Amino acid sequence: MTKLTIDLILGWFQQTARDLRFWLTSVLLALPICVLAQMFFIQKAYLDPTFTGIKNTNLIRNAVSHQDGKYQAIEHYMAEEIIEHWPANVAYERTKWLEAQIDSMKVLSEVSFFSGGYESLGIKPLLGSLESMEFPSIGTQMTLAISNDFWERQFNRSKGIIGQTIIISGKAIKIVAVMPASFQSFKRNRKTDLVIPFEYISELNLGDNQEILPDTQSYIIAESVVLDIMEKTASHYFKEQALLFDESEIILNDAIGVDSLEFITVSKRIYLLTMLFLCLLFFCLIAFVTYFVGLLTRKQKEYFVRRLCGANTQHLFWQELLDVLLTVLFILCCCTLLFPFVSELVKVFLPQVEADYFIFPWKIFAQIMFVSFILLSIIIGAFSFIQYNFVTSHVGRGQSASLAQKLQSYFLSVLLVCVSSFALFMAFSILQHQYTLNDKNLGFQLEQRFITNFEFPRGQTGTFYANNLPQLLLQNVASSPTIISAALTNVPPFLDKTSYTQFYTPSLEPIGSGQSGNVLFDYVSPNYFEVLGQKLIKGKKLEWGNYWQVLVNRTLWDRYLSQYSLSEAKLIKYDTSGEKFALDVVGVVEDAYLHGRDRVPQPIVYRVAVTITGYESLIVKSSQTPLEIEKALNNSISEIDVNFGEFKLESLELLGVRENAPRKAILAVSVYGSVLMFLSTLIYTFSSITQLVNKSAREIAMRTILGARLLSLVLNEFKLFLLILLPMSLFTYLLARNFVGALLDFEVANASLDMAYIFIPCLLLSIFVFFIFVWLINRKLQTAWTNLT
Amino acid sequence: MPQTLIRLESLSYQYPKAQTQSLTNINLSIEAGEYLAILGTSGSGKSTLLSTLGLINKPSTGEYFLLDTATSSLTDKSVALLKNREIGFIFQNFNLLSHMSVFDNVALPLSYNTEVSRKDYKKHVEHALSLVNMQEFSPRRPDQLSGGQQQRVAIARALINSPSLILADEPTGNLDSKTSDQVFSVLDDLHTTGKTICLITHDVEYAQRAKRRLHMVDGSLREE
Repeated sequence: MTKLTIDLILGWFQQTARDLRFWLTSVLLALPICVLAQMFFIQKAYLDPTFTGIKNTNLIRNAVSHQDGKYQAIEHYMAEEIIEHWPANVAYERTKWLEAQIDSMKVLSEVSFFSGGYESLGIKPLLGSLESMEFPSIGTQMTLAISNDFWERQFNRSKGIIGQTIIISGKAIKIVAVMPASFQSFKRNRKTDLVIPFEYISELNLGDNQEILPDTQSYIIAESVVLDIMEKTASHYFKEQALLFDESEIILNDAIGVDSLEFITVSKRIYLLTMLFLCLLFFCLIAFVTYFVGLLTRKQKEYFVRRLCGANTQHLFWQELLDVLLTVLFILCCCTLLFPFVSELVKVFLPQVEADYFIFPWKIFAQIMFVSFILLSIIIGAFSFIQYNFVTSHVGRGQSASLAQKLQSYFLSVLLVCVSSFALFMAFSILQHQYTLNDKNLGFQLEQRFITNFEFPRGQTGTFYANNLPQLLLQNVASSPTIISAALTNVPPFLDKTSYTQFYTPSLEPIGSGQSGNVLFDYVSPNYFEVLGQKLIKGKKLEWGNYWQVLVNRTLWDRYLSQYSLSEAKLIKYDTSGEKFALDVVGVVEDAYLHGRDRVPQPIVYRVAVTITGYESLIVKSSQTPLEIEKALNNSISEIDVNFGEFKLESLELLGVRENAPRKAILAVSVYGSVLMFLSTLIYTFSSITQLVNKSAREIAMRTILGARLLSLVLNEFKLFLLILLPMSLFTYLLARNFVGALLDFEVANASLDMAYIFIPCLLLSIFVFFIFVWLINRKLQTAWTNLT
Repeated sequence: MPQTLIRLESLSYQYPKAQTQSLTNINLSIEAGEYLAILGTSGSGKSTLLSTLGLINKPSTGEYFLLDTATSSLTDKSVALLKNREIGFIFQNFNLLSHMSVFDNVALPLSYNTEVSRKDYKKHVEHALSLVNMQEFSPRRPDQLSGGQQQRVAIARALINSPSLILADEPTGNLDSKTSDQVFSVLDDLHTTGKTICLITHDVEYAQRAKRRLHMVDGSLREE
């Protein structure tokens, strides 16, 4: 049997090595499997809360309230309602950087404020006990736990630290436990040093613990059955029974330590991509199975020959089994080889997902491959079994394919042709749209520009007044030879920093949206436009000290001030006492797409920066490396104020790439998807027509000897294909029109779906089908006599 | 005294969905080393008889003895073993596997021959190909050969396990007269080496080369 096995394996390799369609269909099948596996890994990485030290992950869910597209932790009154109505607990978490004093040493530490549930969540401390932190009472000795890392760093793993105190915000807090080694933080990619009960936020004068901030996370801790019920009924309860909600809803999800909005966005995207790739997998599977059935028909002849050569039933069964196993293993090898490439592709598909999530867990991959192996073996094995036991092949001297068989095969082929035509149209449309967007001038330069954001030290009021000399700051920065020029702004490109205010036209028409008028208001240095490369199209520049002069962008000018001359153009503003005053519009600058090319430019008013409030960003122009720039900035800024030292430098070019990433993702998904669909359609069509023509070999031969010519034989087959294609393409067009309408909301593609967009690809594919018929029938004509005798 | 290789006793065969018998009450004895030609019109049952002799079809009634062994009692394994060691098949359409080289096609029966190890394949294949003068075509694929060459490769495959019986179904049906002559020369040579050849042909001239000729008429055999 060993000898036979070697012979069969070598024979299999010989056969497949030259079979281009086998390679193509296998790779096509492997591609969506790899994408789906990668999606699964990302989802798993997202949902893996190992870093929190939580063992009973089934007992905790993230809870967010959602209203008007805004997601945040649930308010405390909701938490109270939940605790009252369900056998559940609500935990809050917030992370802060604080200065901790250990003896006389001050250490900047990351502190996680977390409200209990340690025992039920299975968080077992390495040392000490978390009991006193479960239900902290205000007024008694405050307690905290330290992380394993902090214990090692600061206390050299001394076991005597339990009972010692750490001073935070002037209050002594007793160390009661060391968190388990598995605990990193309650937030992903963070390293928490200290864990303090959430209730102490107010006690430590660090804010109001009832206040929900953007970084506050809320969790519900309960039995998983209760959590399941809550997931389905919580929103309804708050709306209908507690009468607390109008439009809000409570969403429970598995995002532990992950920002809810990010989790929801990524989950939706992963879901959509998974659906898309499941469809593609289905397409590719159809193409593969059709090819494989054709292969099995050929194999039947081989089995017949082998029988004549002495193969018994056992030998043939072994060969069938080996064929199936080797085929599946080959597909899985393709998956393994393609996985790194697909991972890179999925990074493009999911720009929101950080690189950390793109892991390659061999163990899980092996499990997925094993499941795929079983499933594919069953599918392929079933087809082999059916083919060998129930389908009699008449290839060569066979019957003709029946009309029903032809209709069935052509219908599926036409369906695939129509769907892939539409996919091609969509890909083309998206490509065109994105190309137009990419071609759009941003209104400013990206090259050699950097944005510097400061981490200003802030007081308890949340604002910081550094100094009132923005000129001095810029002079110092620009004096460095590393930096070509520098400017100030509080609405830097591609960042979420915005500043709105109310302005009116001279006729008191509100500028911006709504009756009150809200318009982007950017405090800049006069050289801002030169540094950023934004063109002044009318009037003059801003000047230091002329605080009553403003510049506006083209959108604002065209929409609200175009009827005025520049000398008459003014913007009206009301002061806090309700008195109105006017600002002179001295010039107009070109629109800048500050929030991306696909966003319509908003009206913007530019005014000279009066002072530095801590909210500004520096735009730096330099040809040097970020490291060099950081050094230069450090030197120049520390001369003004040492507190400016903490800053973050971002390359505008890189931000531009990031801004481009979602478009690239849509583009990549559509092109990848449509190419995959198109190829599988071609393979399916080719394989199915080959089988039909093979099956009709005798009919074709008979028609030939009765006088039919090649063209008439081809047309005879092709007309049936066309008869199905015409109504189907019309139907696809009608369906696709609605679908394109829905896509418009996402602004990813052009709107107009002309009938031609469906018909032209259909026509092209039909030409392909026509030539397949010509080629295959012509081949059959060469063996016509053999097929009849 | 020559040994009886094949003995058919009141053998009949009916295809599963057919109304009538394709072979009716056949009684036939073939001695080892005989050169036998079966002639007959289309549909007379020649190919059915040959496939029954080749153990492809099981008789509906009667008995087929091969080497004095009643084949009806044989298991699938024993039938496969007999096909592998004792019978060589030659067909009109060659039945070569297109994805395999000439070497691999010829070596195919060796995969099922437990007495030949893989390292001896080369020796056996070269010998079989030398019998039909095709040694230099060993690495080629069937579609790179002419019809006559393909048939000679098929003959080499039929001979590789040195079977005692060669069954040839219209071996020159797809070949021109010159190539047909070459193929029949090979068969003649095989006969001289003591092989038993059972041949089906329409061609009376080629049938004359056989020492014994039988006619199939409506499923029955008649000796000439």
